[in-house]
Amino acid sequence: MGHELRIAVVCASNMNRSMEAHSFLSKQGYKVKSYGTGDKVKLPGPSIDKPNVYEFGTPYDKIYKDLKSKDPNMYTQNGLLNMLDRNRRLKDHPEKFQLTEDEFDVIFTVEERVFDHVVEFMESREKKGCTPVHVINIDVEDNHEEATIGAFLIRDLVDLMASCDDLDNDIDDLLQDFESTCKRSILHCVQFY
Amino acid sequence: MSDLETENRVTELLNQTGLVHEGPKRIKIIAELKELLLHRAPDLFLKYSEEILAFQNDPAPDVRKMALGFFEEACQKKESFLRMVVPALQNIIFNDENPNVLKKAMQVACGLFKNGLKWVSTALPEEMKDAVGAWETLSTLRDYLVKQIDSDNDGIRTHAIKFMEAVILTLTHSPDGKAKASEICLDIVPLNLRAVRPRKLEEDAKRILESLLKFHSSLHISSVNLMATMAALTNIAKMRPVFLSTVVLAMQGLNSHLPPTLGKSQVSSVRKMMKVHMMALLKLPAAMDHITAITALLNELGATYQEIMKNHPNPEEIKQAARRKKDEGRKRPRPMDLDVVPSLDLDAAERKKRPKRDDLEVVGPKALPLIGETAVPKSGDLTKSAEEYISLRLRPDFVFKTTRFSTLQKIPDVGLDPDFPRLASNGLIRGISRLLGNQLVKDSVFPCDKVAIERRRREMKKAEEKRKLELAKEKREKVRQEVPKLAAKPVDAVVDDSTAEGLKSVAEKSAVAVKSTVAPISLAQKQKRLTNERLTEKSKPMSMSIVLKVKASALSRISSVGDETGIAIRSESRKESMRSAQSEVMAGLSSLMPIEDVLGWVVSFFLTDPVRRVDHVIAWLYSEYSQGQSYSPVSASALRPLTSNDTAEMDRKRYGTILTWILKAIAEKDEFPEKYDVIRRLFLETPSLTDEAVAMLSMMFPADEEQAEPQVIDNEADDQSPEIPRVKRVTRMCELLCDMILYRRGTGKHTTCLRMLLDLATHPTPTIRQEGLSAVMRLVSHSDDAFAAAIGEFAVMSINALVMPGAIDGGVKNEPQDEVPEEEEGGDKKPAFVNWSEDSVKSACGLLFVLLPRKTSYLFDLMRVFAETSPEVKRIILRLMEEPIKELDGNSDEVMAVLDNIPKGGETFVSRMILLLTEKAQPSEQLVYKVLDLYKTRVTDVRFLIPVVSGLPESELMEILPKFLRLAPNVLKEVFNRVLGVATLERPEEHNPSITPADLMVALHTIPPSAADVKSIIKATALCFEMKAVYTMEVMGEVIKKLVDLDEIPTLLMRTVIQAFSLYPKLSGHVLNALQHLIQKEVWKNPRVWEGFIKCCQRCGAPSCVVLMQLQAEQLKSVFKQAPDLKDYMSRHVDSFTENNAFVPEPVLEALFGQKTPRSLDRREPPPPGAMEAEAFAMHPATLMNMRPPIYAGQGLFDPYRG
Repeated sequence: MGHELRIAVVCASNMNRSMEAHSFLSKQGYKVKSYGTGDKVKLPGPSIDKPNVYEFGTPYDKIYKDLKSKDPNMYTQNGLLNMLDRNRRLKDHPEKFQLTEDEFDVIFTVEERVFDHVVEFMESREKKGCTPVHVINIDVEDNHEEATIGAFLIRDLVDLMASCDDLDNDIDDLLQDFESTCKRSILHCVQFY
Repeated sequence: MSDLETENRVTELLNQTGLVHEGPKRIKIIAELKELLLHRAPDLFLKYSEEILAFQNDPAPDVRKMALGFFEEACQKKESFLRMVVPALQNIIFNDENPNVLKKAMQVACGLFKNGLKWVSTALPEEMKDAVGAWETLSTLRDYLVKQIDSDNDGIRTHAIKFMEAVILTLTHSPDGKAKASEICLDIVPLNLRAVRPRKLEEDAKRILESLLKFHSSLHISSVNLMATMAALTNIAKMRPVFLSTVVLAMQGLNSHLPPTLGKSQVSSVRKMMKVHMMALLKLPAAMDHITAITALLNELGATYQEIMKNHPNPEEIKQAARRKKDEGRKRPRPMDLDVVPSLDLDAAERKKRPKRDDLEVVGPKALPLIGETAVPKSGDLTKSAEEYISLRLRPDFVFKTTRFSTLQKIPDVGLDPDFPRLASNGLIRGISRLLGNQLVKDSVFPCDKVAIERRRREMKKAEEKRKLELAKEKREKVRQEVPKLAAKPVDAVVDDSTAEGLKSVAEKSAVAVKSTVAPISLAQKQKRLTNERLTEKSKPMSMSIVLKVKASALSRISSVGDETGIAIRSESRKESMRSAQSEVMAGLSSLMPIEDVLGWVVSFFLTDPVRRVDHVIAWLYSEYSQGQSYSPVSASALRPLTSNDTAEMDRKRYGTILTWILKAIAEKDEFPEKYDVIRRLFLETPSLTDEAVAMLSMMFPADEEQAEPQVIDNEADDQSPEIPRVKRVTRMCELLCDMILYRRGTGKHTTCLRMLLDLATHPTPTIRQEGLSAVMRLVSHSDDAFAAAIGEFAVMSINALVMPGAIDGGVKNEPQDEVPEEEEGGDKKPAFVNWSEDSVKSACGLLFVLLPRKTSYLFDLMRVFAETSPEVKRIILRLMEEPIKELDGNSDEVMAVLDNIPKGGETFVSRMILLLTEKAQPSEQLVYKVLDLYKTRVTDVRFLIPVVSGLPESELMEILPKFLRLAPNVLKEVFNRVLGVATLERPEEHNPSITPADLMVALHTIPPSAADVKSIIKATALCFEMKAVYTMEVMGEVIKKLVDLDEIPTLLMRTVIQAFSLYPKLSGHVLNALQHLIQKEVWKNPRVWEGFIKCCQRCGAPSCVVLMQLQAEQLKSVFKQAPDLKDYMSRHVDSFTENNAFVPEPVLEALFGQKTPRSLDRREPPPPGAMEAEAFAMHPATLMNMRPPIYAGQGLFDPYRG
């Protein structure tokens, strides 16, 4: 089944971590989508109490331009513009997970809060059938470097999964093995559409 | 697009599917077909159904999956399609092997099942038959799929869980019958429908729920499935609040007993999901009854107060719900609860105890009320007393027994504590009694009579107190004795009893003990269970053949570790420990495999390097043995695959078979230097020997077989074989047998070994026999009397054979292992006898002879046999007995006893025995008299006395002496030797003969002619003379003196004298003296002596003249007549006389010189030459000795006597 895996990567704002993985995985040829679970898209601002906040659905391009107009120097320095530039070339706008109708085989989350949101949403939505989906959480810190590392980890795990003929059967062992190699704790659960 | 166009397109697409073979393209086509047939022109589906359904057999799994989706959607469009689709689905489910397709099919089945129910409920009469058919097929499928919960594939299990959830939801009524319009459940089934019986379906649903719960609480569940099950249960609880309590119970049970197989992060995932699910449950209005339980659980899962409050139902709602509850109190009875409780009993018991433990630990906020208490409507005392009533009547062991099965499944496979049933049942009883109590009260079964209740309660209280006291007593002992053990168990219900203050302190103590020990133990146990369960989970689903293959390959890998090819391990101790671990693992592993698989492998493994691998093999045998005796905690036969002939009987024999095979293998292996060391170890170190194994001993030493061929007994040539000399092998075998007898006592096998050894000891081949005998001796000297007795018995039996006419022809040789080859078999087989040869007699007697010095009483047996057997055998025995008899103590009581009880025919034996006994030592006085007595009473043969002759008193000896003279010279010589103690004695100085040599000689001479003829006496004296060491010159001088002094002159006197003189010429003085004495005794009166006298004088020559001078003329004449030469001496002698001293009587002169002698005229003639000498001699007789006798040096003298 290999590249047939339908993958979702979910973070809070669908900006850094999910997009880094999205970019990386799609370069590897995987069918991947990315989402955020937060209420709003939040980006660092001039100070910690003054973040830049946008609605989901605001195009990356628009955000890019907005930030560039605000303080091109600072946002170039902290890499936000660079990131947004990458994002706008991948897709149009940040997407909210709770709004999607798409079905996946594997959903990656990058922190426990996001995992909880995903599970909560999956639980609460109307069940159509019995198609299972694996929700997997790997904690990734929200900065550029960690996002890259996280993307690598997710890529490794996806590679493992893609090489699996019968994912449902092997996922337990697979995750345990992966956990011991990457030395990060992984949350995993199975949900149904 | 018109219908026609659509149809054209459909046919075109269908045609394309025949041409396009790439999966993805076909999927595209099918997707388009689906679109067309389901959405554009649904009517066409029926027309092209056959083609569509044919996709179910498509080679590409993805296409099959696609087709399944197609079918499902079709059925959702129109239920009647089920008629075609269900068989297709069934086909896939039963026949498809791709797990992904199967999973898809299971998903589809969820939907179709619902559709099926809908169809069968709403079908028009004309469709009814099809609908019912489809439904029945679906029901079959349902049962099949439910069983997939035990599938090998984790993913399929997940889908099975989901399927079960769907089925349960479908086959139950919605709460209050208010199902949503879209929901398909039992509500839609009309009550009058015959084909579907809603009540039965509901039962089925409950059953399925039960198996789902069972799966939920199983220990080997994977985290994915656990979460899926939790989700399914939560969903069920949400949709069917009637099951809520069951689900909450299950969740609580799970929380307290998480599967040990879960990893750390899996545990956190599971707990997280549980929290999510419990939160979801908390929101339900129906959760009202369980709010405390759920809150407690959430607390334990780490939910904050705020989180809980957020999801807490509105207090207003709670009140409403309570009100509603009161109104519908009757709705409470839930058969489900009762059904489920047994399967959850352990959890229930645990759960009920947990709060209490918390109480004791004073943890504070965690202290919770018992769950379910709020669930019970407050019917007051009545319910309580009903509960009490029931709980008093439920005996722990009964409860435990009835619920044991489900309980045991959850207990890790550690040994059950004997107290476990009681402890486990305590919580259980409460749960059951509470449920039953509720039920009784609600159904008004429980008596409501207040007085009766009061009375009963008093009784109960009494009983309860009594019981508690007992429990407390037990408890105290427990605490004192085995606090750690207690720690592993749930705290007893007695602990929180407040009525008995004393008990409480005890309980607290125990609780403290529990607290201090419970954590490490449970952790350790968990760890242990973790690995255990892992293994079982992993290996369980494998097919037997794979398991075996894996085991075999594991075995060979492990076995190759020790080979030097692998890692070089320097430290010797590490090598050692590795080797022992290796053999342990291998032993364990191979004992778990069916014998036919492992045997060949182990044997070849062993044979490639027997010396080093014998350790492994022994370890393996031990493992097999302990399995066979069911010593080991895990029964191997349970783990071993059952083959058709692998019965319990086989199992028991397994050890024996293996042992036999191994022994056979090593026995058949070519010779190598350590072969017999290996064999020895196998025989001595294996846990137990079977009869076959012992019998194989003979095979082990093929040498024995070779010579078992009835051929030559002399095997000198064989011994020079290029390999190990056979004798050496026999030596090894004897050693081994010996050790086996000594170290394997009490197994019953040592007797067999002993018999084998004894057979060797009586083996016809001398070399083997010798080995056998020395081994027997070693054994006898090592061990106590038990063996000695057995050996002796055998030895006696063995010699008993000698009574038979001959040795059994080939009896020993052909069957070396036969028990007692000669005698026991002899009677039965009527064997052909061959004459006893020295060797066969030797082989029969050898053992006894060896034993004889240790136990003299075997003499009796030997003697008895001797008496009865043939002369030939007698002869051989007499010859053979020399050695053993010589070692006996001649003075022992047994010997004396033997002498007292000589059987008829045993005399020879006895005399030989006595002879041998006295050869080296002086016979004791006792012996002498015994023998003498025997001689006088029974044995007339004088030879009988020979052995003791040296001890005979002189008088007896004198009496018997003549009889000895009749014996052959060599015997006689022996007699003399013994009498005189010559040459036979090691310490002659101790010899104290009753008679001196001189006396003996004298005695010989004094034997009256009536007793013995002269000739024999001459011979005897001759023998004496031969013993020059004894009869020295001095002795002879003494003899001569004694003889002459005798009153009566013995006939042989002169003969002896002459002989002595010729031997010892220096005796001449004695001789002359003797002659002189004889003259005084008028020797001439005895013609024979006179003759000797003259001869003696002749030998003496000139010196005898002095003696002769004393004779009368008459005698002198006779002398001269016989010996003219003496005349010359005499005349010369007389001539030499001077006038003064010469006084020669006339007759003498006359005899000397005739009638007229010149002597008479002139006496003063000069003496003849030599007269001076004669004179000197006369004056100094002693100087005569230096004279050489001039004549009679020859032998002529005694000739007349020789005749």
